[in-house]
Amino acid sequence: MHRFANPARFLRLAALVLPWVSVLSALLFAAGLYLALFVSPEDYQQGDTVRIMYVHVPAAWMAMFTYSSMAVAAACALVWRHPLAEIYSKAAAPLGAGFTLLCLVTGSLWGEPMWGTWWVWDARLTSVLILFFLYLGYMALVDAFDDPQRGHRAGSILLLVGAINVPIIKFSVDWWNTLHQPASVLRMGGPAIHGDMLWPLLILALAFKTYFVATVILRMRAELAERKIQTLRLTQAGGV
Amino acid sequence: MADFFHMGGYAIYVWSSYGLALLVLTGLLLASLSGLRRKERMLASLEQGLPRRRRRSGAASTGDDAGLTMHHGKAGKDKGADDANDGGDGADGGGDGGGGE
Repeated sequence: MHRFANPARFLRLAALVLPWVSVLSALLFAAGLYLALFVSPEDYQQGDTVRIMYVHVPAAWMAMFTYSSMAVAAACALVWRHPLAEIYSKAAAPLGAGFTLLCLVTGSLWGEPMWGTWWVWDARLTSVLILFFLYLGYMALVDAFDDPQRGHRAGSILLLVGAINVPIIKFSVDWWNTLHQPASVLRMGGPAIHGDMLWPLLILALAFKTYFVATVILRMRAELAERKIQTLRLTQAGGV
Repeated sequence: MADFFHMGGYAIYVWSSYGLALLVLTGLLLASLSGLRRKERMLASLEQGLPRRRRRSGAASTGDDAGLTMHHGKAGKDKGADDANDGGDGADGGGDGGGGE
């Protein structure tokens, strides 16, 4: 793992990975959208609104994955001072916030016709809303200090504390009564969803994942450039 | 085809979901790309204004007055012109140097 701790080595590896992952993402989106919109059948109860699932569920998975990976990175930053860990968290946060917003709004757009309401304050919806605020809070906190190191430290602690929310989101549908349906893909006993709907879902989930990898690489490169700019400015201003 | 856009009467819900997904994902991608370009351009112009020998030898001889003239990076432009051909080289050095920080 520490072999990748060197930013110069990371940049070389990123340059190698980026074109492949970008092309893969475009292909997966094309295939996934075709299957989701044209091939997959409508639900016998929900009609065509079931197609919202192909956006809503990948966005929700990515919202949780992004936060979990940021929390792991925060631990690496605090314990091992891994130089890329903080850069990863800062780069990933706006993407995670975007996924969470997408999940919340598409959920509303699905809830209105199927549940008869845009929003309820039940455990699943509320805990995802808290996840969205955690992303926003982290982004504000990291930039709130004059000394970027202190900002990153405070942000990492916030990420670790907020990690308790991730299992709460996952199991909220089992622990409390809710309008939201329980897990139907990642559950004991295998997926409870037919292949015609499962495949477009999995392909679009992979498309979201590869999109995330490509975009987070771009953002990490920007963050590394930003650090170099700050260092150059400091040396120039200090005349050292 | 009209059937397809109609989405069984749920067109507004289905299409706004997909439209929003498109908006969020392309918006974040474009913002990330333009941010990266802006920072790389800024970094390149900063590194161009930085004479190589000063980076190599640190604050050896001409430290003080050079530091003053190059306060904002742009001021060292005339000096930097000589080093322009070495720009690529300097950028590599900067990358490795950044790693050490």
